[in-house]
Amino acid sequence: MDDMTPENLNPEELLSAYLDGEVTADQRAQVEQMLASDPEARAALEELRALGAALQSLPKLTVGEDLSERVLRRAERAMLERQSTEPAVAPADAQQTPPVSKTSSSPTTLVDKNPTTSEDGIHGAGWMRRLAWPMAAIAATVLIMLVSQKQKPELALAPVNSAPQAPPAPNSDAGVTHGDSESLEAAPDESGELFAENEFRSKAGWENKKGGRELDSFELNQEAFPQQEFLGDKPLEKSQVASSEPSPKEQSARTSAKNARDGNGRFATSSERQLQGTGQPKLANAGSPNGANAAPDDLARGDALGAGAAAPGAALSDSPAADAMPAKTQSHFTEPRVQMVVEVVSAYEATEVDEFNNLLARQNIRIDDFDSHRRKQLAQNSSSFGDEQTKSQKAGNLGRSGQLANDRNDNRPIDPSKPGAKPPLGSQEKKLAEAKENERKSEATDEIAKSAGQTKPSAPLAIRGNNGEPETKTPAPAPSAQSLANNDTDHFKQSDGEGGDKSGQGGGGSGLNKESGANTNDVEVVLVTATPAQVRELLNDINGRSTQYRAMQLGVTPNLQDLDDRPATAGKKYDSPVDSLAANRTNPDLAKNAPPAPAEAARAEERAVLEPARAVRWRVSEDQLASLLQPESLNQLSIGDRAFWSNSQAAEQPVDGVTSTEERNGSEALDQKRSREETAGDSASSTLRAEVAEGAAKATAAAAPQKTAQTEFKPTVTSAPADQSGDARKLKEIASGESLEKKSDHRQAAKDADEANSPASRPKFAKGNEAPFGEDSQRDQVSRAGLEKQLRGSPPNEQIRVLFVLRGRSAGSLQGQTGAAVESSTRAVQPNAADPAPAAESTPTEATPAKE
Amino acid sequence: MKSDPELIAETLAGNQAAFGQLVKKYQDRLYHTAVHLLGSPEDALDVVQETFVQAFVKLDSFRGSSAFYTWLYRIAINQSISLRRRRRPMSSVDQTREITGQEPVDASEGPDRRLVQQERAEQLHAALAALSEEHRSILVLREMEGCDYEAIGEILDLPVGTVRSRLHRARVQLKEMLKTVMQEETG
Repeated sequence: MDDMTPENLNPEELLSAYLDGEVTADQRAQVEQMLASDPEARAALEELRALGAALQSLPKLTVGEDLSERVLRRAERAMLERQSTEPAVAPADAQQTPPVSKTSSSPTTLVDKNPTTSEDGIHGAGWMRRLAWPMAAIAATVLIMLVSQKQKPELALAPVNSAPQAPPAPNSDAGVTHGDSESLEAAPDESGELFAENEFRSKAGWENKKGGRELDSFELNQEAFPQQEFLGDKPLEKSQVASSEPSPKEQSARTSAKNARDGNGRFATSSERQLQGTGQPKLANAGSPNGANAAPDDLARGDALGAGAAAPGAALSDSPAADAMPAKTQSHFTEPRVQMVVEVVSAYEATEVDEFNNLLARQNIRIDDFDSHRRKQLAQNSSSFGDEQTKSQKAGNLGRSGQLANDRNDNRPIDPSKPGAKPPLGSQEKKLAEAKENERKSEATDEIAKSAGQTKPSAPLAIRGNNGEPETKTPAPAPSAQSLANNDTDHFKQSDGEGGDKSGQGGGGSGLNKESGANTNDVEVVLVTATPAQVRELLNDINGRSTQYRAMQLGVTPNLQDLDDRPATAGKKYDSPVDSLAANRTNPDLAKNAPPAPAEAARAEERAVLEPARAVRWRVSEDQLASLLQPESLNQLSIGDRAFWSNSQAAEQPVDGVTSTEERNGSEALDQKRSREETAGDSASSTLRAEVAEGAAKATAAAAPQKTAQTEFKPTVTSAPADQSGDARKLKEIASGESLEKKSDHRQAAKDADEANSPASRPKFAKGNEAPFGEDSQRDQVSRAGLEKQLRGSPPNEQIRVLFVLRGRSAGSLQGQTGAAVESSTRAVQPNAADPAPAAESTPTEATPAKE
Repeated sequence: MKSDPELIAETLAGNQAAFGQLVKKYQDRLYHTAVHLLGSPEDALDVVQETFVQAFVKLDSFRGSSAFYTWLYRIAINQSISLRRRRRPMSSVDQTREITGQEPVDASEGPDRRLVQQERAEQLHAALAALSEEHRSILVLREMEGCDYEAIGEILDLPVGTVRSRLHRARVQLKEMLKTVMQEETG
């Protein structure tokens, strides 16, 4: 039997084995002797027997349906995925495991490995098949070499300022990534984005914070690859990094471009940032036919699984959005796209963000709070923080940017005479900077009105302070560059805990609105990548907080797309970051290319279901949220794309921050004008009107192509363009002197501008979507049921992505709008979003009702 | 009905229907086990499906050294454990009732008897759910699936001696759990 001899066997254990008939003859004799002599042993045996009988008497449960078809369908898809992955990941491995033929997804071709039919494999078609993949791999390598050689001169010779004048429209991303030489302004070494990121981290002192505490995975990666960009959980190839370090000039330009917003107040998307000159992403799609979106480097590396690369020649990527995805995202792994957007509305002023973190943790979803690193830094440097804050306050930044300065270390005043000063901007950057300047001018107008005593129309908001005492703050009306900068800082206070006290501990009443007197409309956004089961449990948990959060509601906008119909690559599994990190630390190249040990191969497959669930959270304004919910933004969301989150946080830096020289100068000029205005008394300066008029024209120009593009993508969401056009209209009115003749007109202008930015002035959505999610309303129930249904039908081990929008009840007036936006955007995420019926901006279309 | 090796060979030769037969053959047994392992019919269904998918994909790696069913179980157990680890423990009596709500009712027995049986089943489910992962899986494999020690060892990748001792401890624990559950319900 084993090494268990009768001597060392526990008598009770022996009884148990005896009951199961798993004893040797000697043991049996021993047990029978014991049973004959010991009544307790007999009783124990009877107990065990009864226990077994009880368990065996449990009812037999049956599935109740034939799973074979469903299983075969999914197996087919899994085989296709496998087929698409294996040759790329490890050509050597591909030799060991012949791929499945495209026509038959069953393990037909695996018959070669079957000893009973191996002869066929040797003498028949299997021989050809074995050669086919190595040959294909060689051909691919040659092709890659050719393509990359062909591209390099173009990239190197591309003029820096040759970017098109029009702002990058969402649907122009595809054009960019398809290698439009006009837009390839960056040389291969111009990936300032990467450099800036690394520098940012370096300056933030993350590398120096490892003493005595455990580094998180991100920091570990930083440790392992200090010079490499952390894309997802995989660092870039060294060659990529080496070729992407920019000069200081380029770095500044990239940073500026990264932080710029377009004419709609929307962040520049990753693709747009590519347009600004990050050379690396442009490799994607360059000249690749049939929708094969993988960058050559990625193909060489073997992890290319762009949607189009799933099946050679078969363009699985049926969505233009797939092309629009940033190459960064594509090059790493194909993360499942955002399939659901869920709005969680708290009953309280606060959404209890910390509680949501707890809920995530309960599901073992790693919360990758982007700001956590900065918060840690703040906590550690709390003493120096005060100094920085003081300095910043002296600099007129109200301490906010000072906080960021300590953190980002990148908003130092820029002296053009010193090395590292920002270079003159390229045309594209100029355009983006102008758009932002327009916004600032609008704010300036607002400021003028404020200085004239105009009070904000917003209602006071009760805010619970750390001591539990309510405070009253007056919220600022609209997300703007300044308010977002405030928001950025407020986020520290709130998420930090607790924030204001710098203790890093506790602090009651954390919530969305607690900290943000100026940003009551800001929302927390959490992007979750997890299995359907985890998401389901998370949602159950949210609903289950009814005791503590009696009125917490869940507004669900289920994706209309059946999850089972997702592209085969949508749920590609990826390795545990910890595992990959450990392997890469040893020897990145070897670990990447070495085939798994045979004994480990099966286990690795079994562990495939253990891919980590992750979440990343950040904070956005309503405007940003509207932009985020654009299909192209949703499709670009990548948990691993830290640059994106970084950009989200940094893009709204105040003028002292990462802004262009021109913008800074423009702002200073505007400040001077404002001073003159104030000095001049009531009359409005014609210069200012001209400025504003110019800003309005630019804003309109910047917004126009964006509208067109969005119309093509998502006709039902018109928030950003409408918003911007509203601004432009108001500004035009101001400029034309219709409403800005006197000081009172200043007030009126400011009021108008506020209204233009206020939630109420945002575009109204279709009837039925204006109503906020009602408490226990039928809509909620239906939505939940729909989501449950979807989650249940989703493959259990394929992760899905859900974007949670957390907001407090105090933002109730926005709920309906956001719900509509959510629905619209969710619908727009559909793969067939390329052919929506265009809708006029002024005529909001009927949003799709929640799916039953 | 063809044997498992025959069906496997046919599947490897490209006959998907053969694998369909394997699915039909084992889906209920697998589901039954998975429900008791996971405590959730939905999760169990997911695991069963994924198990078959994995089996299909990896069928070429099945060498036939053990029974196909054992191999299948190994995948299922691993998947169940993985899934369960990622989730909070679920041991609510309500859920147990939900599970046992599917049980077929024997019309030959009186209502009292059925009630007692149902109550007993609920207690057992609750006790099972309260067991540790390793103990629950080994008990389910032995008592509900009737696997011998060797098969259990193969499925759970354990030596037979460990299977024996662990099974014993699992039984002892289940007894204790049952006592606790019964005391809680009566008290």
